[in-house]
Amino acid sequence: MRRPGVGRGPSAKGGGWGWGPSREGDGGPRDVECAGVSRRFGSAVALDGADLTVPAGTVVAVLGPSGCGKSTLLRVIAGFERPDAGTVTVGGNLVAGPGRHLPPERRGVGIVPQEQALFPHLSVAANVGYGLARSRPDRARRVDAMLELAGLTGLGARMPHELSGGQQQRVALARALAPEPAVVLLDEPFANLDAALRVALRAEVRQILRAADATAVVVTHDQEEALSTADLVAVMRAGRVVQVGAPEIVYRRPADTWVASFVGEANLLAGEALGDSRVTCALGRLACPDQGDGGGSRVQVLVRPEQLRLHPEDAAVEGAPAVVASYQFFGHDALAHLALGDGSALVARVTTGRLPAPGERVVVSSEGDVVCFPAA
Amino acid sequence: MSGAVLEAETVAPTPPPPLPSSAEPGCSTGRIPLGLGLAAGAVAVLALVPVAYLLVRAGEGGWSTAADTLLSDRTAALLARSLGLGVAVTAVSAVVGVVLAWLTVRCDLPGRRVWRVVAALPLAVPSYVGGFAYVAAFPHLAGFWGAWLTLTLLSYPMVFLPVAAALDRLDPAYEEVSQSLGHGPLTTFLRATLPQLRPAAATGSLLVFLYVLSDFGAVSILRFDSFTRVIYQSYQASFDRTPAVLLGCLLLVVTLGVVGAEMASRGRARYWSSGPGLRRPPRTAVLRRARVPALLVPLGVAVLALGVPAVTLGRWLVDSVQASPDLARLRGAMEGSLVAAGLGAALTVAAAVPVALLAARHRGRLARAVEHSSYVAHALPGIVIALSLVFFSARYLTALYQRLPVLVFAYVVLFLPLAVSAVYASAVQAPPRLDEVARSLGRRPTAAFGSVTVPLLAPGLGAGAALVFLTSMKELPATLLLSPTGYDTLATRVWTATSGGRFGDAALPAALLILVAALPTFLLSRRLGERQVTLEPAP
Repeated sequence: MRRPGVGRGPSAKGGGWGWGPSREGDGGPRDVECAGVSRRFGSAVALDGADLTVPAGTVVAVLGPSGCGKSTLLRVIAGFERPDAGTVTVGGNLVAGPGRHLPPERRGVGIVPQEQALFPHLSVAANVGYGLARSRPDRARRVDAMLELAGLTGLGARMPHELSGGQQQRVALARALAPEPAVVLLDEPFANLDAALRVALRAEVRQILRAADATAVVVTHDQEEALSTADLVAVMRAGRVVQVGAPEIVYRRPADTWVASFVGEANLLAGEALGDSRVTCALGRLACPDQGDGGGSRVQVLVRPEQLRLHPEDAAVEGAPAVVASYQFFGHDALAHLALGDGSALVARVTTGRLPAPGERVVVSSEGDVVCFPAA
Repeated sequence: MSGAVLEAETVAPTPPPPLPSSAEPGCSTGRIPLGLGLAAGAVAVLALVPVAYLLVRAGEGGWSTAADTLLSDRTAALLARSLGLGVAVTAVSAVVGVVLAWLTVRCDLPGRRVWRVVAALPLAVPSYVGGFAYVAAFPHLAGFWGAWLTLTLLSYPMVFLPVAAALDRLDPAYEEVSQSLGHGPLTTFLRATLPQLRPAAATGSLLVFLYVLSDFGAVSILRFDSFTRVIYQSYQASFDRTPAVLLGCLLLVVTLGVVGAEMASRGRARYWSSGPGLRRPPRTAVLRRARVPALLVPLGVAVLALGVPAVTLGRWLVDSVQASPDLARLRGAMEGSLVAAGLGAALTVAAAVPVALLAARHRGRLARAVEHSSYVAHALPGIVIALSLVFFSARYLTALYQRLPVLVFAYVVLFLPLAVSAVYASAVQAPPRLDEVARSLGRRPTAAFGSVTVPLLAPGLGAGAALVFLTSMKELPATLLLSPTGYDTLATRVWTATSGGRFGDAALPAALLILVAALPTFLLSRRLGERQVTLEPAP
């Protein structure tokens, strides 16, 4: 829900800026729809028919390795790049497509660049107020409300270089949100920050976006950031969106083995479908609800590290004998690297109990349902 | 200006840009905005008119004349002399400029703000006044060493000013990183600081070199036969202007070589810092016991560059005041100088903006060509530009022949590079990303340009205007040939008096010239000094 004082005020009119008729009247976040967006730079293909739907009022994380085209997609939505093919609509209005290119200033799309790009010659308050028409009667109040929302009360008179990195980031966000954009785009917003600050700021940014009731697209290559920040995660690879879903769905039911390995740690084991919603693999017979009746086909079985349980060598459980090769201790849990008899490697997350020593022989079993993919 | 059509809705298709790396997507969007491209292209074409016409005019003389003139031993010796002088002056100017900039910006030199102003002041001394002062002070000083000393002392501020500005804006993080990597202060300066000053020092040095090649006043008075003096003599000696035009063409070839070499050496690196909002004030080096010896550097330079001319000039000034000078005539000359130089400065800076922005933001081949073609005109001696424009306006622009606009246009052509390099230094600090943010916040391209790019360009615009104004005031050969009949400037007054041996008559306009020209220099240096204060973080 929108906070009082943060909601849409009188529309910007005149003075050379303002977002045109489509931006006036009723406020609220808009949805964004990208369909078949392609963009090449010379011979290199940055976007290759990318589809993305961002429902109004949601935070969507676009997750992918560097070079997958996610930043280009952001720039296409913002209007800084023209797609070679495909369409982009914001709130139902076509902003980019064949024969149409709405300039960035008329799209109502706010951006927070990776390096923030605060105007160095303007104070914090002037930065935040930059997108608000000077004629707006509630301009000063709006700036104050945004500063308060971003936790920057009292810092309005400072110059950008006098702020910490996290504060600069919040100014950039407040500046983008001040004119109530239809959607705000954040390009690797936490990439330049240290880990502790990143975690704290991640939560703050999410809270600010919530309070402002904004539609947001966050580009990131950090899967933890994507999973923890977003309502929906869109996974990109080689210029295409390969899967969109709630963080939990993307993690638990990845579209393919590549997504499985990119989003979180994955153990992929060769197996065979048994035809009764079960598969068999090195870890024994495992429940796999996706797998229908057709038995006998070769599959790859995805087992997440936290599904694995380690038992003493002589325990009577269905599983596979393994040797602990090494482990990484994280405090709240640890990752054990295991070698199976056939030489294949497994990673198991150990959350409770005794940590096995390297070289120790154990039996490893799997708990819960697994996901299968057709074998390559 | 160009911003009016920055990224117009219909943009002509351009060659595919290189793929931006994932780390900096679209830092330089390959697409050149139509308006910016057109504006810069128009400036480049205008700047090239005198050069093109010079070539046409040279071609009219025929090939055998050209071969006879250009392939002679005399021409070879002339070339060697001119280049030797250029190299000697540039090398020493670069060292003096960088050292002075570092001492006055980054060290706890006693009175460094004052020294910073003083170090920029020789810019206000016209080369013919300087040369004249040295000859009078040391009568046996003439030829190569005289010209070298005079030109070095007068032109090192062209390196000093941009390097000092770059030092002001330098992100101390690079130096801290270097020190954290185990490098001491000296290695840090050489390996972390100096490479970042390279763009500023390189453009400054290039300007010095081109200035030496095109200087007319000092070499004429110190009787050193470089290109310009020989060209002027050959122009005046006979009715056949072809040899003068041919030597002008040869100078053009030399200049193209220099500009080409600079172009090749300029790396692909981009110099705007990734977070302009993150800039912290630079750190100050503590000199300790080296303070007094360090103080001798700016002091020595000031005594040589300012003290000697001041004393000599002062002596004549006393003589001339006692001889009751013609004050009305002097005021007319003063007004003539101010009007011509003021118009020249305004138009030149306006023309420089699209060129500098294009060069800073779009490092394509076209952008480079645009940037460097305007350098070419600067290296042509003013005398040759003037000749070319005299012929051109007599033939094609009879309405403007011998009128003020032709003189102002000559200033624009001659001093565009000064303005471009000054604006360029600011333009690389105004990344296109800031414009993009402004547009995403609802500003039209013109509004985004006016509220973000222009304020960030302002230091460069101010510096460029001051430089062009100063240099136009001091400019001699083009003013001599192109000023309308009866139109007096301070420069032409000084020259006429000096060449007639009436040193006393020259003293008063020369002193006025220095005073008027010193004011913008003073303001410029003081503003550069103040910015440091305002940048210091609040407690």
